[in-house]
Amino acid sequence: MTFRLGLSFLLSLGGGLLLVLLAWPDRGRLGPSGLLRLSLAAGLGMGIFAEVYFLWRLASAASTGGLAIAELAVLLGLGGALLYRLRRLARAFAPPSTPPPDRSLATLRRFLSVAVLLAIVPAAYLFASALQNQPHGGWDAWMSWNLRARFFFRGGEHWRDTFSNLFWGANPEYPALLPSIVARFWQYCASDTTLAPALVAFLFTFGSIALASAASALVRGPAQGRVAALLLLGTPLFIQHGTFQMADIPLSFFFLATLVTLCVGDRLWPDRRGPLFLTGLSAGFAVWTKNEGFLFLAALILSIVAVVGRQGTWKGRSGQGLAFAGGLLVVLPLALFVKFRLAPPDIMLGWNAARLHDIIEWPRYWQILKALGFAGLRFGHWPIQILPVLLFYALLLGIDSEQTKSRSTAIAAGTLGLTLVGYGFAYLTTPQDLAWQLRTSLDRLLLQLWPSAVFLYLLVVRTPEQAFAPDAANRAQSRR
Amino acid sequence: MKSPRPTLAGVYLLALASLASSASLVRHADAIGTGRTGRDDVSTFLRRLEPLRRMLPSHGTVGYGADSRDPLAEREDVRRFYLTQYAVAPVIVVAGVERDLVIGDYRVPDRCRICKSQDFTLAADFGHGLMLFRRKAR
Repeated sequence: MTFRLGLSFLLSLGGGLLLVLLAWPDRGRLGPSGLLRLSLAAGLGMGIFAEVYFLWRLASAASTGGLAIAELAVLLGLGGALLYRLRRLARAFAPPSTPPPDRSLATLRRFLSVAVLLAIVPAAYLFASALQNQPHGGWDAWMSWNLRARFFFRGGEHWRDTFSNLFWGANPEYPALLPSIVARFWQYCASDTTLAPALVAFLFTFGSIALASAASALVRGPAQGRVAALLLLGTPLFIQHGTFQMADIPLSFFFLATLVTLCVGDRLWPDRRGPLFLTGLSAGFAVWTKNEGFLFLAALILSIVAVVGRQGTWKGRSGQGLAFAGGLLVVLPLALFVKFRLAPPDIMLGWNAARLHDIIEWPRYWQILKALGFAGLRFGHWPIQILPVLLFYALLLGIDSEQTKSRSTAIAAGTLGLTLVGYGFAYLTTPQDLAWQLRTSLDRLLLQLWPSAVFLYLLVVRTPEQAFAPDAANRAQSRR
Repeated sequence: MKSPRPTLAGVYLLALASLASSASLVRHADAIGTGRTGRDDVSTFLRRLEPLRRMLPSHGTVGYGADSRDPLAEREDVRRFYLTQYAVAPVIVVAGVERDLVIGDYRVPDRCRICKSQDFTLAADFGHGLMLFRRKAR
């Protein structure tokens, strides 16, 4: 069973790698670039093959052999496209050559590397402990996500019962990516082993850490990458939620992947369309993971339109738009089909004119802002209040004005800001009791944005390298 | 050139704070050890329901009765209801006794209202308050 689980994961990882290599015009590089592609491939690969699994389910197919053949066909298609593309691949991105680091900086980098390795140990221990002591995940995992995966896997031709509104409390209206990922692994294992959702949770949690770290290292330098990893590994709520097997961490991964592909692509390959395809694909998977993904996508599109506006030529803008839309269209039609054709109506999406009066109930604004401020201050279950610490750190190191001028930084900041505003609006008009809704969900909503916020923060805060060798490093950073 | 010392101190402090926070995770972790696998609440509950699951049809809808009239009112009852749903999936569990098959899950067997009903017969008693009832043919 473990062998089958590993094999099915390798299949999805292989597909993800081919896809990322196809879209990411950089070959033969290890280090941050390799880690970035690997972490993207792990998440996007699981998403792509979950989609294949779902379509296989929709086609009323039953044999695992049929699923394997469909997946191998996707692999072959991607492999063929990559072979064709390899001939035309551009030179690998050559990072600006930098002088050997100053001794203090080298010591700092070594210290940070050791700190990251040490910080991995408690996180890995927590996962091992959860696998043994909480193998079915947290309440929401077994009540909703893993339950729905069981319908897919055990339901035979009645698998669509998972969308029955008879068990409304278990959220049949939620998007179906996570249950599809888990059920696909179970299909290959021929067993609903608890190892599968645990593996998925582990991959998305550590994939997010690796992705934020690699992206920060690639565009801002090695020290910044290690600080990114430390900030995520040091957020107890992030790791704990990972072990709970809930959809918030996969969602945070896709949010992060969207912004990383956008920002890294814009800095390293501004004239390439491949990274934008991955941006659209990641945003599509976010939509198919949780309802909040719709909000994120709307915020992203609004931010792109506001920032890019009429910059550049029409041809250039339409080419970039097509690449983004191409990635989005790989997933969005299926996500919309599931949401609006298979799933029962969603109470949170149902617009009720009677809720309009909530918009002018000022005490609700105050209640939301107060809860947000309180949640922000004690965010992440850190032993210290991390937001004031990060503010002080930014004051100490300073802000890199070159980075703040980048249009992708503005889009990323706009997307996160608008998503947060959208969350506030959802609270404002919620049909549920507001205090209960805030108490039970605000931490999780902030957590969804946390890896992206860490990446964005480290994108604009000056790096330790810049502080040590301001002139050379500043020039190098500006070129990126 | 500005001295990098404050920056250096800031980065070291942030790293140490992250490391300390990361170490605090261990406080939240249950111990790992031989003999602990499968002893968690959910696994124990699922094992208890396994004989019942085998008696249910492969799909369809069953009713659910519990100690309180509304099994979705108290947190513990809600938990048991959804754990039952998780255990017997892909069969759909609906609170109430308006189905031909009804799962009874009682912590206090005296509270079993359906046991006294003339409309149902006891199809199976799995012990510890877990029962399956079948509606009598009309």
